[in-house]
Amino acid sequence: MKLEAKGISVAIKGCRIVADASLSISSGEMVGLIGPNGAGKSTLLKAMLGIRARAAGTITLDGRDFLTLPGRERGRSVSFLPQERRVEWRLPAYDVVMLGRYPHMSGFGGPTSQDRAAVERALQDVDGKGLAGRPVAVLSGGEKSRILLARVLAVEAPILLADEPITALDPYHQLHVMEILKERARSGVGVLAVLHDLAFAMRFMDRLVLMDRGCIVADGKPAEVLTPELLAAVYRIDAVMGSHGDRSFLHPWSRQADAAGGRDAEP
Amino acid sequence: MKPPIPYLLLIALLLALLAALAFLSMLVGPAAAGTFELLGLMGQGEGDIAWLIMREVRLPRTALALMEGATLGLAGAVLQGFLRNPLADPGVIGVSSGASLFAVLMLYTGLSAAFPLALPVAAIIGALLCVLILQGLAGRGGVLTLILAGVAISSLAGAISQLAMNLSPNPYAATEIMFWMMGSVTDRSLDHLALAAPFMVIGWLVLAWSARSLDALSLGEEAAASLGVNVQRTRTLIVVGTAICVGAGTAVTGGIGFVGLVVPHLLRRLVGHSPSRLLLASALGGASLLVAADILVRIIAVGAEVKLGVVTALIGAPFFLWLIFKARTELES
Amino acid sequence: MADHSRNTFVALVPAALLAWGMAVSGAAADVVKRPQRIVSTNYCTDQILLRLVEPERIVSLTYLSWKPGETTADLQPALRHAKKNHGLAEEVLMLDPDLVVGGAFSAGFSNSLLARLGRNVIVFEPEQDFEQWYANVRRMGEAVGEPERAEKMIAEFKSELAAARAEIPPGEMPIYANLTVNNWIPGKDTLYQQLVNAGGFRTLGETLGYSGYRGIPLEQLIRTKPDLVSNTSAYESPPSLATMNLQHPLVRRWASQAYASIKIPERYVNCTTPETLKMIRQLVQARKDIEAIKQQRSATGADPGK
Repeated sequence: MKLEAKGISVAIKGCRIVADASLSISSGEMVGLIGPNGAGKSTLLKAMLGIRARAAGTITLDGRDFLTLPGRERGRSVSFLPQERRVEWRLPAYDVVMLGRYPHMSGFGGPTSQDRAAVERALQDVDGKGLAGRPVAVLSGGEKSRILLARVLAVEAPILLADEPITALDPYHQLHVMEILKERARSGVGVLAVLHDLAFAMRFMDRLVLMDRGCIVADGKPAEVLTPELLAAVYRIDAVMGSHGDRSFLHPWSRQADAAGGRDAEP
Repeated sequence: MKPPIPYLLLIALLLALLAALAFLSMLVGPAAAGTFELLGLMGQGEGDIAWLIMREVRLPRTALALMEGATLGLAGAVLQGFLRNPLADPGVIGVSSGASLFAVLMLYTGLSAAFPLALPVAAIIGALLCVLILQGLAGRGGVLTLILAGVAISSLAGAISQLAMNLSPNPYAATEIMFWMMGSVTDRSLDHLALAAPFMVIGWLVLAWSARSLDALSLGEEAAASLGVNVQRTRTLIVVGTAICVGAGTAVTGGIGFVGLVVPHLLRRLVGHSPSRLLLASALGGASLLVAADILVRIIAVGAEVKLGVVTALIGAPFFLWLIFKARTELES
Repeated sequence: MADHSRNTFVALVPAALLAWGMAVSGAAADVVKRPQRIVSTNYCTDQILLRLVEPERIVSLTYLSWKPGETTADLQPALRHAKKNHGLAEEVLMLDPDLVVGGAFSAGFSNSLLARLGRNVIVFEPEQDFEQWYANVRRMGEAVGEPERAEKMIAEFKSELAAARAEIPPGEMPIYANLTVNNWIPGKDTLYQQLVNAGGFRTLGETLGYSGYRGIPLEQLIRTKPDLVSNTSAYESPPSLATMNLQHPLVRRWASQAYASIKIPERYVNCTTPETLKMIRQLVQARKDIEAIKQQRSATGADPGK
């Protein structure tokens, strides 16, 4: 399965947020959408889902126009983990995860055994079985993130989009979430995640898409994208590279002094 | 994982409570007339008058209290679920104020005497007009725009109603307006029931249709949209559904508050906080509350009738305080 | 067969329309020439009814008529016989009346419900002047089958009114300020104005030029110079914010400038009844008193023409 966005443009009051961006995500790959603050990453993601209105561009799922598909079919095909962490109402964790089965349930019927099995699997994957009975509102940050991730996993959609899934988590949980997503990718789901953390992007992603001021400036393997030149041009930083065993790693090291007064003068 | 009480059992209990209250409501007469005198009449063989009263006075009264209570409970639960705000109640979208305004204008001008159903018909028109204005103002906006537009319409309608009372040169009309706004089902006829009931039922069906999306909306609008919820359509359904049933109910009974606000809060924990399950429970709970309040209206024996809206406020406000007191910690999480 | 059913249909339609029309208007309902079981659901209709019909025919009156001072002694026998009602349809139905008389306000639902159930309901608008009251009394007389008694009551009232008015001294009508709660003062086109005019005075509201009831701001009030004021604390009932205006020192000073003050019980003006004539007589007397005071003052030269 392949979700492809072509030529997406999003503007608010004439101010360009995303300009002519194209990217695709296919089953089995883990793609990171990276870029500085304000680059338009979340906006592009939401435009792909149809949550954000776009001025131009097409979004297709295996060639079919994604946004004209019926809502439930869209929900079953592409799952989304938003930045919003708030769950209204004091729902127990199990029920929150069950909400992920919404696109599969119909009419006034309750959850089927298939739904329950999917929820169990999702809870298992995030190591959250012990949390099932507790209200989400009283869980810690890490626990809540896992449950919300389980909600997304429960949809069992072939494409999974995540908006900053590891922000505000401690290192243990950051690693845990990335491992879960990687595991999913290996089992055939296409994962597209917006990330700020370049170290994680380098380490876990098969492919990176780099955005800068609304445009996509690079799309390729991590080593091809996270080059010193691009890091300097887009992020204005220098990074330290190294290797640990057979894996390379990257760590942002210092800011670059910007002589020309810089990017903040841009509209 | 499990709510304190199985859902089906809760519904069955609420149904039983409602049935018992409705039965009692048919038997209770106004204290001024002798609360159980009707039964005495039937016992003495003066059955005709008793059955007439049962059918033409108590039946519409009980049925209207039941249906209006269900409407308010249901609409309150739906709006709280949709706006994701525990302070929402059916009045927040300005429907009851619109209905009240037109009713007040009818009383002020004396047109309410034109034909027996003149006042409720005008009030329904008022409710629908308000909703049209609301959709026009806030149609494409977000939830915040909707709430603000509703508040604006409520305020305007309320201000004009108060102006009418202020300027009323006839002290009788002013009092009549004031009493109407306090809410009552006393002496409503089967005609009133026949007018309001179809609207209320249609409104219920429209609202029930939005039930499942409310669950998904607990995650926020973006996550819900990604799951396939059409947020705009859900919103239109909810606004229109509320307008139809609450508008028609208010048109016939006048302004009754607190039911839509308090009943969902009372029952939320018992349905395991699920917004969709809360709908039916709130409808039954609201119906029970209003029928019980109407029984109280009849039992309380003071010279002037204690209005239904006053009784619900008197019951509702302390209950609300108690709820908040008990749930302080929960509310802050 | 088709013809037969078509004829039936054709006959049914106008019949249905007629029945609907009659049901809506309530006019076809059991109209009895001389009702024997009359229920009144309005205080003012109570008072007219009590004077037109013998106690045995009155089944129920509003509970207000039982309040102390609201019904005169000569009408008390009816109260022993009748039951109290609160205007509720259920109460009225249980009494099984053949005539229900009521007021136009605050019983709208009850009246239409009773009419819908086929009861004979007659609604009386509150009167704005004497002529309307005479019309109400006549209508009541017709409804209860006592047209002669009604005419007699009207004739008596008219003659007593004329007699009282005959004693009004000539000259410009002085001003009577009836201060009630919240500084509400009746102006033109109110029943109150008609009564006060009949007693030989103009109301303060009349002179200020408006119709209906208005609350007059204190600043405007104290610039007026009424000749007669009332010293009743309105409603003679538990104090309320609304009656506090009467305690204001400026109001008292203003009131003390008048020639005289007068005390008129509420029940004289709640509804028009022969009791109302007492108020008119009181006003006429006050008028005479004021004329006397004026002459005295101008004789002694003490007053610079108030």
